[in-house]
Amino acid sequence: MGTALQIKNLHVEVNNKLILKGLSLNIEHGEMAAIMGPNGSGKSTLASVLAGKEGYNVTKGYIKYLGNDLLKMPPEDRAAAGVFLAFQYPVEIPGVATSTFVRTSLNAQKRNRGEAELDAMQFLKLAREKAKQLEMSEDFFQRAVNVGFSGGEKKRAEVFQMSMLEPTLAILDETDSGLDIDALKIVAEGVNRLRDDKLSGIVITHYQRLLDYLQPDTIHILAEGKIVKTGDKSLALLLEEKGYQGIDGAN
Amino acid sequence: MAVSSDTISAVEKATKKYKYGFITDIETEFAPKGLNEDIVKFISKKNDEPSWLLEWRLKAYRQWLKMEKEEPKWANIHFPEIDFQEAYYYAAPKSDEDKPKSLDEIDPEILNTYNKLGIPIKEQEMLAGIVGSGNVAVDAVFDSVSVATTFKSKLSELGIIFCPISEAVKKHPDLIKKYLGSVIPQTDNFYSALNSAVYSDGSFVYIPEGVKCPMDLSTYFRINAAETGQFERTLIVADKGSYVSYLEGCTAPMRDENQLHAAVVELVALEDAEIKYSTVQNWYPGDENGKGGIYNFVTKRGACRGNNSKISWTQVETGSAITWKYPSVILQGDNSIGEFYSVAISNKKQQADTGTKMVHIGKNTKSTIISKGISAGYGQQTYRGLVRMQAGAENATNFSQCDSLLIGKNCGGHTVPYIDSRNPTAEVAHEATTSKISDEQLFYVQQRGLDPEEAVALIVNGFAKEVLKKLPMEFAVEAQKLLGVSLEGSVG
Amino acid sequence: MKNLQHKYYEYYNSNKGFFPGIDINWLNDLREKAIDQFQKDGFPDKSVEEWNNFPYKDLTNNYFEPLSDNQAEIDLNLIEEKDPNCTIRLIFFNGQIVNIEYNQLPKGVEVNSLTYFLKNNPNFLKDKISSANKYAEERLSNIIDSRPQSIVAVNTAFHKEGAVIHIKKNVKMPGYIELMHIGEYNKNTMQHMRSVVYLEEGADCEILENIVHDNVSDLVFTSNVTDVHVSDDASLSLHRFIRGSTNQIHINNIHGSLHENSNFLSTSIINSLGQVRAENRVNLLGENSSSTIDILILGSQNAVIEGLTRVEHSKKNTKSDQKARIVLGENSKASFQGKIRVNQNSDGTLANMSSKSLLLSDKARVNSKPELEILADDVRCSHGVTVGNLSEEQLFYLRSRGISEVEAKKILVNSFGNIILDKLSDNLIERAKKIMLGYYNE
Repeated sequence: MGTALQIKNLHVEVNNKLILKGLSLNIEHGEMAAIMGPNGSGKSTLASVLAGKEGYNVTKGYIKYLGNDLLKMPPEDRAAAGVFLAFQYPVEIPGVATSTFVRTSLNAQKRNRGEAELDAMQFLKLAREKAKQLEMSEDFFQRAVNVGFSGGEKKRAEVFQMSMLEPTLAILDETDSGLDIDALKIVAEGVNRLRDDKLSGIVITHYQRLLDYLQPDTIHILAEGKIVKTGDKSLALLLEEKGYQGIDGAN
Repeated sequence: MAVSSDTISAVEKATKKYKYGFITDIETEFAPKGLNEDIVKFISKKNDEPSWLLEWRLKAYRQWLKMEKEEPKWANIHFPEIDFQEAYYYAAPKSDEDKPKSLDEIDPEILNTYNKLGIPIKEQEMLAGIVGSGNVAVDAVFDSVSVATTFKSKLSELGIIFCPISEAVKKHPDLIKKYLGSVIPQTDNFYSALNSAVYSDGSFVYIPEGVKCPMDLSTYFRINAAETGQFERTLIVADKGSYVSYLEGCTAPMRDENQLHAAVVELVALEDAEIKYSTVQNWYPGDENGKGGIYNFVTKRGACRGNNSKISWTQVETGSAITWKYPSVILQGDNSIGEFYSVAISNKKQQADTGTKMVHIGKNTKSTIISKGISAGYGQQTYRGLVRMQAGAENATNFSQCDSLLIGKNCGGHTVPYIDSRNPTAEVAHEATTSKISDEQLFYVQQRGLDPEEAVALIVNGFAKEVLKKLPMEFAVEAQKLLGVSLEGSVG
Repeated sequence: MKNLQHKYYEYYNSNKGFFPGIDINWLNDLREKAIDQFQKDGFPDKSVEEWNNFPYKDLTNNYFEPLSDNQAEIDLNLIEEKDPNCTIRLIFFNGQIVNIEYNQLPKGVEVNSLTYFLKNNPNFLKDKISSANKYAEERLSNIIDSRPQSIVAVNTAFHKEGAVIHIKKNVKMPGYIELMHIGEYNKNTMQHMRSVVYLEEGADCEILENIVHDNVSDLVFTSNVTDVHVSDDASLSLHRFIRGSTNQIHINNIHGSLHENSNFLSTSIINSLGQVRAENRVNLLGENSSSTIDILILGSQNAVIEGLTRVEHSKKNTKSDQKARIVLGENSKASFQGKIRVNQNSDGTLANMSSKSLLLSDKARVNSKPELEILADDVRCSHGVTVGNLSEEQLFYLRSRGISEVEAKKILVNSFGNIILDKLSDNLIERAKKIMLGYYNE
């Protein structure tokens, strides 16, 4: 298998405040890692830094993905390299149809990788297939990106985009927030369907319930900007039972 | 619908009588009618001013002469041409020579006036200097000259200066020299030039570094003598890290002749300082035919000179025949904040052209404009506001909301925002709506047991709430009453 | 400036015989009144609020020959072919009609040049070309202010050509009519076009005024004024695409009178590199009439582009919508001045206005002034303005999906302008998109 993602001693400042304070984490090819932790521990910061959002100042440490220095790459190159971030708050883009958006993204990545682009018909065929798998109506193809979508619809649209773009590293940033149990199941099934030995994943969540469906290989507890504990899924159960206070080193 | 026509007649009825319409019978000492260099010299001499100030006034006067043809014409207001030679430029109560030391010494007629104006007993006691009677300091200006100043000692312990500007010229000449005209130069505009030449008196406030003024400072203005132009001059300086809240309130007696009022208010906020300036203006608006009433042409401007400073204007404008007024903020310091909250009512034949200017110069500056205009009867009301983002105003933001409410068929509500952006990182957002009180709303409220007048008052107060809640407590109550009185019978 | 003003006045008086329609009394009167109005008001200066955003220095500091004969020739074969959706195309070259193309003139449709009508049917035009200050504003002080209409006065006095479109009762014109104005001037010239669009009851028509002033080697001052009359139950779409080089000074006015149950739609797309001002002044004179005016300004280099719209509601239950979207790069400047005026007793008015601007460069500058002037109480009016840059959030979202920064910006700029194109008919949408896409590629 081998290591897909390597994060070493990562220090990140936001608005001159140190949020990540020496985070280290390795993820294997095909590994699904869950990151849990209390509010403000730096979970979403980690997701944003991985995807390359501006305003996050890395003062120390590095991130290597498939041998590339991720921190040196602009967000679009990271995407082309296989990094996909499912946003906690998907952004609304009025005036741009969802299908146009996804097709533009997919073809931009393909171009970036030197692959053949999809024409309109090929794209539509693929999109229909994926939408069907996610039990989504095709109506949303023509709707503007995330505009007027309910919380659940937005999250599903994120998973739809992920299934279209076929990343090798999926970062799910609190994808479970705002979802009822049925939607959660569909989203989780959608993610599970994409899992294979090539896809690595980072699932950021507060709750056990998404993990029940996703069955992560490893669980990491993030507190005060560092990974303080790593274990298998029993750790999540322990957490559910005892809370963060009950985990050694998690305070 | 019956409901709305009731409403309209109610509005008309409401303003038939001017609640504060009476004339105080006091002998007044006038300067001769008309305006020339001698009058300017006369006023300066009356105030026993140093020569630099006389020169300053004369410079303004000479500039005004050149500007006379440039009396602003762009505003949405029209009125017969003012004959500036037909007005008196100085009037002071006779008792000027011998200022009263206690309530007993104050002309009972004046006290009576305050009673009719509804100035609380507490404040009257303060006028008399009864210690511990409250925490509002009143620098009452009767016509043009201060007759009483209270709480001076309490304030002076903190180093706060709050006194007539004529007195400040003598006692604190350095401060006056440094700041007078530094925000609004004499020659800024036609009316400010006129004011600079002939202002009789006004208030001066200085809050020293790091001092939070422990009470709201307050001043009541009245215009009393027939054909007397009223030219107040206010200067407030908040030194580094200080805070002050200043209240200004006005009522005026009924008059047949139009009276000109051209005040100038300058605010200076240095680093980390905050000035909150609140006005309730209820001057005589004229009768149903538009006869009489005050012409209110005011220049108000604040400069956020230091970083992190803040200036906030709140106004409730219900009076005057004509209002021409744009309290503005120059946001020079980085991270400085400017605010403008306004409720204005035009009823009968009132005309108001009012708004603000927010000029963003410093980085991360922020301004908020909330304007609520209510037109009834034959009233015409215009919101006119400028938001300018200068090239250096990195990441500056502005939000403006201007709403107009129309009551009746013959009034007008207008909105004229000017937005000028020269910085791509600056963000400006402006929203405006015009609507009337819907019959459904009125019916709904009436169905719950309110009469049409009360219903309209309720709805109008709701409409204006965002602004009213910005007023200090002392004023909020008075302001709510005023909205009711101004629209009484008209809308409620 | 005063000198030039007088020079034009003198020029008019010694050359009036050369303007078309000299023998038509009513037209002569219009011209005379207009030149007098111009002589009185002059070019609008700083004191005219509608004109004080950006000075028109090139216009007021240069003399433009009113009757100069531009000798340039045009090769009709070099002009792009008529769009298949276009039913009739009139081509004007340097202010002269050079071609009228159609396969078959639809029944009930009369289209020709102004000079043709002046020669063959002058009575039709009487009262349809309006006086220079017909659409001047009455201020609240009851003064009619003709100064902002000075250029319309110049146009009224000096116009030599134009288009006339007459759609008869209940005729639905298929496809659209294109009025193509090509300018390739080689010396300081002024050129004024006066057009008339007249729709009888129940008629329906779509028109594109396509202005391309390229290859202009010297400053050129052109104006197009179109008098529009939309009768009861009729429906008119009158669009403008305005493009030109840095030497273009173009002022374009659409003046519309709308009658009962009529509809008017006007979309303007402007991406000139010169100085352009596009005005729409529309009077809703009939109950249930409605007007939609959309403007898209795409500014680059040193362009100065102004959009002005004014809709006056004079009858009950009238509707209007005004929208401006402004994108500015490099040193370009733009303004939007919009006004909703609701006259007394025009109850049931519904009016909206929105203006949004994107500044893409440090040097760009935008002025926006959306005005409401409301004199009736049973109305619902609103306006909104925003000025800003592209949203960082949106940019990041797009880039995180693999789209490059440049491409992401392009997508966002296009989506910003899309709302203006939305209203265009299928006939024109592709042409409009091409202009918009072309802008960001420049």
